[in-house]
Amino acid sequence: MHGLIREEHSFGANPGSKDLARHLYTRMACGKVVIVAANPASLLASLRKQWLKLARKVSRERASTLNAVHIYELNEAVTRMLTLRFTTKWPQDDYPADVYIVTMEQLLRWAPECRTLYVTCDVGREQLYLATAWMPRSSLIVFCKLS
Amino acid sequence: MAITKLPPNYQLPSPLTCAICSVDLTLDKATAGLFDADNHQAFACVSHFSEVEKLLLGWADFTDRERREYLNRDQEPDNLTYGGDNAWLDT
Repeated sequence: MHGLIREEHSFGANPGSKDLARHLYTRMACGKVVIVAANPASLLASLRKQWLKLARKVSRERASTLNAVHIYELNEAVTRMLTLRFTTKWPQDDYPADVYIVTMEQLLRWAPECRTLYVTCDVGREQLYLATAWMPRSSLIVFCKLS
Repeated sequence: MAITKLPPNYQLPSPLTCAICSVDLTLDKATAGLFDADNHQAFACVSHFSEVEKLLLGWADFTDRERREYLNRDQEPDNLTYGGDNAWLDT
C-alpha cells in the first residue's frame, strides 16, 4: 500500500451501492477495477442495478441537453457504462472483465494489477498489503464500508 | 472523509483544484477521478457525489477539455477511454 493513493468514504448515513456506483463512474476509464466484498454475489446484484440506474440518468441528461459537447461526452460515457463487464469470477487471466467483485480470500490467491481497489468489508492489514502488492504506483484504494 | 494518504514524493498540483467546479481543494474534501492529458491524477470535491447532475456534466466538461488537449497534441485520448499507462497490464 506504500505507493497508493488512499481514500476513505463514509458516503453519508446509509452507505450503499448507489454511492459506490457514482464513485465507480469517475474511475471507469482508469483501467481495471476490483471490489473486495464479503458477499460478492449480492454486491454484484445491487451494484449492477445501481449502475444501470445511473446509466439511465446519464442517458436522460444527454437527451435533455442541447449542448453539443455534453451530448458527445455523455454519449461516450453511457456507451462505456453499458459495455463495462462485471464479474465475480477470479483470477482475472481467464475472465477479461472490467470490474471484479471478489472476496479477500480470492485476492490472496492472485493479487490484482488493477488501478482501483474498493474495500467494502473488514480486511486485515497484512492481507491488504499482500493484495495490493501488484498494483501500479499511484493507483487508488478506496475504503467504503457498505451498510 | 476523503483522501487520507498519498504515495511518498507524490507531486500534487499547486493549487489543488476540483476538476468539476474549479474551486481550491484540500485533500480531506477531495476524491481521485480520471487521469488528465498529462497523465496526472485529477481530483474533485467529494460533495459532487451527492449532486448527480453536476457530477455527470462536470466530468463531461472535464473529459471534453482533456480530449481537446489530446487533439491539440495529435494524440489519441487513451486516458479517457482505457486509462493511463499500465492500466491494462494484465490483458
